[in-house]
Amino acid sequence: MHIPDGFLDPKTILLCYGISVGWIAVALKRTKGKLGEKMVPLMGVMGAFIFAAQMFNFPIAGGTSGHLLGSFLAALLLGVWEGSTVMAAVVIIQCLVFQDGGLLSLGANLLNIAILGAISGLWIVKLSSLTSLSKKMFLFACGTGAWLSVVVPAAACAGELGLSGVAPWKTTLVAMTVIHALIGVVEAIITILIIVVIDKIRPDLLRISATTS
Amino acid sequence: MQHSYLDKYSSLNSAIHKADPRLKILVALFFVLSILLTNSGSLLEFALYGVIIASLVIASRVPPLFILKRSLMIIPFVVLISLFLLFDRTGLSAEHSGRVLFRGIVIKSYLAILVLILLSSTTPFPSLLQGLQRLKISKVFILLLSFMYRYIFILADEAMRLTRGKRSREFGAGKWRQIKSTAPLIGILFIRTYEKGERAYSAMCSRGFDGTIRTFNTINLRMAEILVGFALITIIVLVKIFSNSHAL
Repeated sequence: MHIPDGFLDPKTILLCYGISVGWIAVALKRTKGKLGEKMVPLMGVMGAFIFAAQMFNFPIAGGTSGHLLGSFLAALLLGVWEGSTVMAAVVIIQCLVFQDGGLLSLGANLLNIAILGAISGLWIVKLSSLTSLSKKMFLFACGTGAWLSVVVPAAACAGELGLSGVAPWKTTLVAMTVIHALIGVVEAIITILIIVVIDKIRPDLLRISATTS
Repeated sequence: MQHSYLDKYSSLNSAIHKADPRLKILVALFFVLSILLTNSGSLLEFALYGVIIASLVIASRVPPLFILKRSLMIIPFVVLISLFLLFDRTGLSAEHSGRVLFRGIVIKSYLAILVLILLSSTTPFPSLLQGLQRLKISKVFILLLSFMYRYIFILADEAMRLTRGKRSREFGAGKWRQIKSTAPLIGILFIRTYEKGERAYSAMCSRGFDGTIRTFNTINLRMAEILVGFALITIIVLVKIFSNSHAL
């Protein structure tokens, strides 16, 4: 999912960087305005949490294992703007420290994972919280959101590769979407299980994010 | 803490390690950009870039084997793309055949990842951040990144502790059971992290934190470094001109 350098052409790189930098600038401004500097240490720690959460391995079919990706979880717990900013920090560190994704394709990776990952799933939960749903339905909405937060970025990734003329549009889109539809199911299950626990121990943390953002 | 292997070689003592992080970031960006803008069929240019990278690696004294191992990160993506090109060849640009294009992409991304590894293994993360800050990246964002980096190791340790405990409690359990018992650990880790964050913030406030972090300015751009940086950029440009004129 992290696009390395060399796969995107200059126009796509510029486009993605433009969108990502603009979004993060707005997000930082909003975060600062709303909660002052208090949010910064908390957001930093939460970014580190996403990293640590990605270390937990889940056994899947055969010998393979998967891990949480966390874009949706970050958005749910912190809100869209804060969540995407935290995920942006995660993606930047993945690039600079772990070489996960390239320097020039960083803009695209930010757009896919941090921004689209945070936006794509949360609106369902927002919609569902307008009507007072049962807890089961809330969890179902969260699962769907988590699934979307994996599939939508994958489709966007295929789109960027297609735009760069690297890979044929349709095949890439279908292949990426199908693969990530499966990965998304795992993400959804893990996310629901995590939310259940948080709801049991500190339900206030879930509610704060649901109302403030 | 057991995770100092992250940027294991970033505190060596070569000339590249000592150079100003701003300079290294800019040169790396320029280098990656010129790799990207190379014509996919121009093997000579790729080879020359490879020579530049190799000599930089030697000058940096980072073990080549380490860099080689780290660079294998891109393999999954390369395989993915090659699969796409295998199944469908329509819609590609007309000027190259699929094979040349694919080969070009693989070489480009490999060279670029070598540059990136070289950058991160010659620059400790804190000074990389300092460089970014001096390059006018938002201060709040830098603060966020430095907080995050500081806590990654602590939380990774905590995550490992939780996993070890879980493993010893349910040795040999089935898959679903393992999934069901691992996910709550992440929830617990989140709550602990949240509370840690609140504690850290109030501790900082009681010590007079007002939202800005003041650091010593330890980076200084020296004339010699600027010259070396310019020399590198000039070499890259010359390589580009030379191999383009050679191809025609």
